[in-house]
Parts: sequence; C-alpha cells; structure tokens
Amino acid sequence: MKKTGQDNLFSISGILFRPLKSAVRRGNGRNFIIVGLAIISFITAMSILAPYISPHNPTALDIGPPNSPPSKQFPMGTDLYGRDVLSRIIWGGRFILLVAVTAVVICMTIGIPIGLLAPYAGGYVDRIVSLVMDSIYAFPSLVLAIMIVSIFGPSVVNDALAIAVVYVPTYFRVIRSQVLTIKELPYIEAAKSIGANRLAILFRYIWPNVLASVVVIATINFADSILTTAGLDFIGLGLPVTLPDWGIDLTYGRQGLASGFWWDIFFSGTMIVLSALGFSLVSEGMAERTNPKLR
Amino acid sequence: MLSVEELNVEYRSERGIAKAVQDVSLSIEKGETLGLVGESGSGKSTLGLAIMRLIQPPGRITSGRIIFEGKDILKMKEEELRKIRGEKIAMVFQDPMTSLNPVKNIEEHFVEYITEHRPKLDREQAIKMAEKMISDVGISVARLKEYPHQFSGGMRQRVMIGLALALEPSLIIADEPTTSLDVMVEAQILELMRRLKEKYQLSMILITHNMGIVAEVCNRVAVMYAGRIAEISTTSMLFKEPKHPYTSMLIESIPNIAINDQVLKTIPGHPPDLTELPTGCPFHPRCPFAFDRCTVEVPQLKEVSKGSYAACHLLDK
Amino acid sequence: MGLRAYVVTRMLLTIPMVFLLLTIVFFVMRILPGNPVLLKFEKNADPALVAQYTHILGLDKPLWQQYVDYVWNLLHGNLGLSMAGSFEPVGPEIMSRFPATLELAIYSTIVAIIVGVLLGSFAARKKGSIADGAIKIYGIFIYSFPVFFLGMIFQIIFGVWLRVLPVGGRTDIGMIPSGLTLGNIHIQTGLYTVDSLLAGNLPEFFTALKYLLLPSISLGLVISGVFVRMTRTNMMETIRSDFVTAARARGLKESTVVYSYALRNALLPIITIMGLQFALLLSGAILTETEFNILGLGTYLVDRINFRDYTAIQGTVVFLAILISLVSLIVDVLYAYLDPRVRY
Repeated sequence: MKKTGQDNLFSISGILFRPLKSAVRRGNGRNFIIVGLAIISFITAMSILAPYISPHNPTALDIGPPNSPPSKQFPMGTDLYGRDVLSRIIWGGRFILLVAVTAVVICMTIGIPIGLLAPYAGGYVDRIVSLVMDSIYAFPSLVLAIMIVSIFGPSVVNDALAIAVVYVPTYFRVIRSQVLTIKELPYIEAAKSIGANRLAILFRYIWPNVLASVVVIATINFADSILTTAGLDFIGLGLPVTLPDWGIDLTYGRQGLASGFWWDIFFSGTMIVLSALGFSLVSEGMAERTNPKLR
Repeated sequence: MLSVEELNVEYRSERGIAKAVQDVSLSIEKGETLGLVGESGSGKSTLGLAIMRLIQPPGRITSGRIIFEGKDILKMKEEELRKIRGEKIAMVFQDPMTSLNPVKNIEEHFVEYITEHRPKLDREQAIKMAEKMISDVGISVARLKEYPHQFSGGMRQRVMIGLALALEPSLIIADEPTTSLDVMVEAQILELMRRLKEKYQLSMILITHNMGIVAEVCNRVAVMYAGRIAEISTTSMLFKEPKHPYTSMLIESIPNIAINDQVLKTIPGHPPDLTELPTGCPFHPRCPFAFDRCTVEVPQLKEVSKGSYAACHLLDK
Repeated sequence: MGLRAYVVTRMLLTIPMVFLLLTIVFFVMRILPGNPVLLKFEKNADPALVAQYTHILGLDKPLWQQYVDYVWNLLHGNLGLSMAGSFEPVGPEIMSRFPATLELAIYSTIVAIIVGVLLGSFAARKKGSIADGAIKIYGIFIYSFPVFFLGMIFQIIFGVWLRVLPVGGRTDIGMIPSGLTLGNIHIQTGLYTVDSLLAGNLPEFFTALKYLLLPSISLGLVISGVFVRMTRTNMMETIRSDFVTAARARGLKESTVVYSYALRNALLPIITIMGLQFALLLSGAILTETEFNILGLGTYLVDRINFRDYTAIQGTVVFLAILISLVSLIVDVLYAYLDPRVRY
C-alpha cells in the first residue's frame, strides 16, 4: 500500500519530535487534565503565597524608573507609575481568582439543588423554573455585570453575583437533563423495587453521574469568570486602580502601547490567558473522559 | 465472479494492531448466495466492508487481491471504484435506524444516487426508477417524500434494500440485514430478499451470526474465526458433516425447541483479543481436540472433499 | 408537533421571557434605597436639582406606577430618557449606535463560522493526527484570550509595527457612506459596508472593510474557539456513522458524502448554541468596540456608565434583552425548520 505523505513526514520528524508529537497527537483527556491542574495549582499557589514571594510592594510607586523594560533588577519591567511589574503579576491574580471562586460557589449552591429537584418535582414547578432559566440563559454575563456593578459598585461579591446569575441556568439545564435521563433507567427501577426512597435514589445513584458534568461546567464557569472580570476591568468597572490586578494592568498598560511599552500588557495578558486556559483544559479533558465517543 | 485472494486487514488501536482479517481467500459464483458466519469480532463485517474498499482509518487493507469482473478492486482508481460501488456491487447495512441520512427524504436518497451513476437521466426519470423500486420492496410510492425517521425499522431496511437494488447490481453484500429486526419482520425481509434475488439474478454474500438463516437461505457457507476462514462448504455438507471443530460446536449450540430438557451447549471461553492473537491456530485455546501442532502452526485452508475446505490440523491425521 | 404549532408556541413563550428580563432590569435599577438620581450626583447633591431630575424622569411616582409606565413606554418603543443634561430620549440614541455593533457582530460571526467550521471539520477528518491535536488545542487556547488582549496584539503587529491596517475607528475621516437615495426614499442602514455598496462606491466599501478587518478578526477568532470544538466533536461522530458509510457504498462522490451527509448533520446541533453565542458576541463586541474605538452600542454603554447615566444604561440593557430574546427565537425556529425530525 502506498505510504501517504503524512506517513513520510512522520518518519522524518518522528525521531526528533517524538515526545511532543505523542503529546499533541494524543492530546487526550488525561494530558489535558494534568496540564490544566498544574497551571491552576501554580497560579493558586502563587496568589496565596504572594506576600512571601513578591520582591516588592506591588502598590508602591516609583520603586524604579517608570516604564523601564525588563532588566535584572526588574525582571518584568516597571509600569507607568514606576511600580514593579513582577510583583504586580504575583499579586494580580488574587482578586480575579477570588471572584471566580465566589461566583462558582454561589452558582453551584443555587444551580445544583434546583437542577436536581425541579425535574423530580415535575409538573408546573418544573415548567416554570425551566422557563425562568431559559430566559436568563442567553443573557450576556458582561452586560448583567455592568448593570449590577455600575449601581452597586465593584466588589468581590457584586462581580461574582453578576457572573453567577447568568451561569446558574447552565448548571440547571445540564443537571436537569441528566436527572431526567437517569430517572428512567432500569437500574433506578431496580433500586425502587428494593425500597429505596426518593432522596436515597437522588444521592446514591443520580448524584455520582451528575458530578462529572458538574466538574466540567464548574471549570468552564471559572474560565468565563476570569475573562468577564478582566472585561469589567477594561470597561472601568474594576476595583480601584491602585490594587494589583492583571485586568487593571492590561487596561492601563494600553496607554504605553503606542510608545512601545509592551511588557506590562504582555505579562498581565499572558497570565489571564494562562489561568483561563488552565481551567479550560481541565474542562475539556474531563469532558473527553466522560464521553468515550470523543476518543 | 468475485474472488478474494489472501486478503489482510488490520486496525490500529490504542492497544496495538488488531488483525481483523488474515489471509482470507474465497470466491463467489454468479447467482449463488454465500453465507459468512462467525461470532462478533470474527472479521466477517470487516471482510464485507473490505470487498467494497470501505475500510476507513484507523483500519487499513494491508495486502491481498479482490478480483471482480477481471479487475483487482484494490488497485482501482477512485473514479473506477465509485462506479462499481452501488452499481455493480451494493451493500445493505445492519442497523436500518442509522443507515439513512436524517435530513434527506427517501426520494432524495434515490435520485441523488441514481443521477450520480446515470448522469444521462434527468430527475423525472430517476424518480420513476425510484418509484418502481420502492413499490418492488413493498412500500407505497406516496411515502417517497417522507423522511427516514417516519419509517419503522423494518420499513427502513426495505428502503435500504430498494436503494441497493435500484441500479441492478450483480452482487449484494448484506451485513447482518435482519439482526436488529424482530423475528416477524425478519422473516418478511428474508422473503423479500429471496424474491428479489431470483427476480434480478443476484449473487449475494450474507453476513450473519445466525446459523438458522444460513441454513435457510445460503447455497454455500464460509465460517470465520478470529479473522481467518475456518471452513467453507456447501450448506448441506456443512450441517451434515462439519469438518472444523468450531463449525460443529457452532451447529451444536443452536437451541432446538423440539427436544425437551436440553442443556444449552456453548463454546467455552471467548473469542481472542485481535491485538493479541494466540500462536498457531487461533481456535486452539477453546478447541477440545487441540494438540501440540495446533499451538505452533497456523492451519491452512485445504480441500477435504469436493467443494469442501477446512483449515484444521486434525484433517491431516 | 408540526412546524407551525412549534413556531407559534415558541413565539408565545418569548413574551413571558422578555417580560421576565424587563422586570429584572427594572428592579435591579431600583433596589438601592433612594433613587438613581442620587446615585448620579452623590455627595454634590443639590436638593433642588435632584428633585428636578427625579420629577422629570418620573422617579418620584410610586413603584407600581413606575413599572406600569415602564412597560407602557416600552410597548410604544420608548426606552426612557437619558440623565445627561438635556434628557434626550434614549431610544433614538441607541438606534443610531446600533448599526456599528451590528456590522461588527456580523463580520465577526462570519469569521468565527468560517474558521470554526473549516478547522473543526478538517480536524474530524484527520482524527488522531497532529493536526487534530493542534486544532483541538487551538480551540481551547484562543477562547482563553480576553478579546481586547487579542485586539491589542493585532493592533501592535498590524497597526504599529507593519502599519498596514488602521488601529481604530470605522472609516477614514469624511468617508462616511451615505447610502442610496431613490427619489423620495433614502436608504441608509448605518452599516458602512452595506451603505457604500448601495451607493455603488467601491473605494468607500474597501475602506470600511479595511477598518473592520482587525476588530472582526479578533472578536471572530475568540468566538471561533467554540465553533471549532463543536464542529470537530459533531463531525467526528457523524463521519463515522452508518449513513455516511452507506452513502459511500452507493458510490457517491467523497465531497458529497462529506458535505451533504456528514457536515450537514454535524452542523445542525451547532445552531442550537447560536443563541448562546450571540450573548458572547455582544459581550465581546462591547470590549472590542472599546478597544478599537468604534462608536457602537458597546461604547455607548461604557460611556453612559462613566457619566452615571442610569436611565440610559437601563434603556440600553432593555434593548439588548429584547434583541437577545428575538435572536433566540429566530435561532430556535430556524433549527426547527432545518431538522425534519422536528418538522414532521
């Protein structure tokens, strides 16, 4: 049989790039989850340990000459106020991550119970709740966040609330459809026949299956939250300017762009991409593992 | 009319290379119905797909020849191959529920395919052919404009058969055409196929795991195990005097309603993992007659009596 | 349920959905004690001024009355009055800014769909190869980009370093397309690319396109992430399904098999997420407009925030809510129309 061009290319580059080739080629669930978790752990650790590892005070002005490029003294350069960018990067994830965690917690607290109970309640309750969820479902989180934050002011809870509200329907929908499917499966019938009551069925049989989906949604939730928070910063609805925050740096570093001061934007932007990427990788990896058709 | 010579097909999977079809040779004459039997994983479906060169990656046909009307299918160019598919050789698939395009109606299925092969025909004529075919398989012409989901399983299979026969091919490959249908419908479909076979003078390769159907419908039978042919014989010879241990065990495992208190005979063990085949004869781990030669040497298909071939070392004794 | 019944039901359902959103917006704006006018002026509250504003904006009426007026006004297309100085009606302002956003949204969607579907179906056909893995990673990677960051990167590369594309705005100064005038009828959509074509003015068209290039590509690429992944997943499933093999077995051309059989079925479920994608598109548009200095609804909204013009914010959000509900409706009906399993 004729060897395809692809086969030939592989033979040549195979020896050189085998490890990389294998990783990209397989790019399967496990690799994604591992890399994703690594990134998340790294960023979480960095944010928690910020006070101990940050070389300078991130809000201290004029530590060095303003807008100076990366150097030995300031590995990531300084921003327009003369602050050390590296320190700001180390500290910059705290707010964003905190908002993300809060949003996901709120979301799960509201979304999961409703998603589990509504299909069980059935009838009108189910229909009305579904209708409400469908209405909110397609609403852009940024717009809602803008509304809430512009009135109530920026804070961890407010930002988180805005993001959470729009995400609850996603948890609801997915969990609800899973519950509806599982509810009809024969092994639930079997469980009922040995006398398991509704609550028991819910927790012992339905919940474990739902858990995997919850993880997938939660990680997407995280990623989205990070990006929305950055978006809020960009519009000017972020926290007070002096606090170190990747989104803030990305927004205000813009001014230096025309003059060629790329480092602030580059590092803060990269951190945002990296953190969103970490969560997305875990999400995609989990989704792939729970759906064997994708392998 | 069709002759398969030393065909090899393998699939690449995460666990290794699965040899789905190994050194398979068989032939089929005009007008005959050849049954291809075996358990799941025996390679029979793969063989069916391979004959029409429908094996997709991660599968590959690695060697062999398939001679049809004097030409080797495996060496044909894409254009030539496409002309044969659907026109000279046609296939009926196992699961009628998933074999039709959900977004096209039945008429579209026919017209698209007919005009592809007979570009000189216009739409009107193609529809006429479709109408003739659809009533031939027992479906009312009015239903041509309906969509697949509006038909039941049995009806869909009739549509599939109609599609397969629309251009009057000389060979039909039917891959477990009745497996997913209930017994009543199965009988109807088999009857339909028998009638059409006579009417259109078809040759047919019937792939199945159901020995009962084989006994009823086929002239000759080939038994496959783990990608190899274990035995080929005429149907009557096969059932009267099976030459291969696997064949006899298969026949014995058919339940017989007439006998009371029958213990279900099964073949102990299970089919081998195609990525890790045993050495020698693939059946030896489950064969009650296996001896030392069976573990090292792969038995070749040899003629045992007129028209009867088997691959077993026992026959040399 | 037939198509007609479905469409009617779906349209009727839209009404309570829109109402729900409107009500939420209404109450969010009024949750805080005091009123939005106070929020605007904060400490510098000259009581007389506050009272005047409150009265003009109808905020001194009882809550239920305000709600009724609100709904009544909305039914008549009145989106309220702006708080900025001269109490301009918000509606016309929104409509003058909307076309820019619409244009950006359309071109970004085109980019997203083309990139997404092309890469996704390619990856599905070459499953397991390096290309497949790379495309999968691309889908996740590009989506992790804040859209304005990507915009910035493009601006630096193409606008500052290479100087081939403009970094902001919609067109050169003085080149705003004027549309078409036929006798007494003047057609001007506000979409520069459309208007310039209507007027038959090609240079205007290409200029407008030039300005649209970077913003729609940055927004389009980020959104393509989702399309790439979904197309890939769906195609992978479809291309290995029986009806595709059966089609091949009938000797149909490979291109027919891939497009008419595999892709058509793979793309169908993607339409169902279009509604959600529209929300993403709007969020992204707000950010992209700000980054590229495009005077659309996004920048209008951001502007009003800076001015603490709460009634204008309310009006804009209401407009967006209605828009989204309409798009959702259209998407659902479109899907029902395309999938014969729903129709019959």
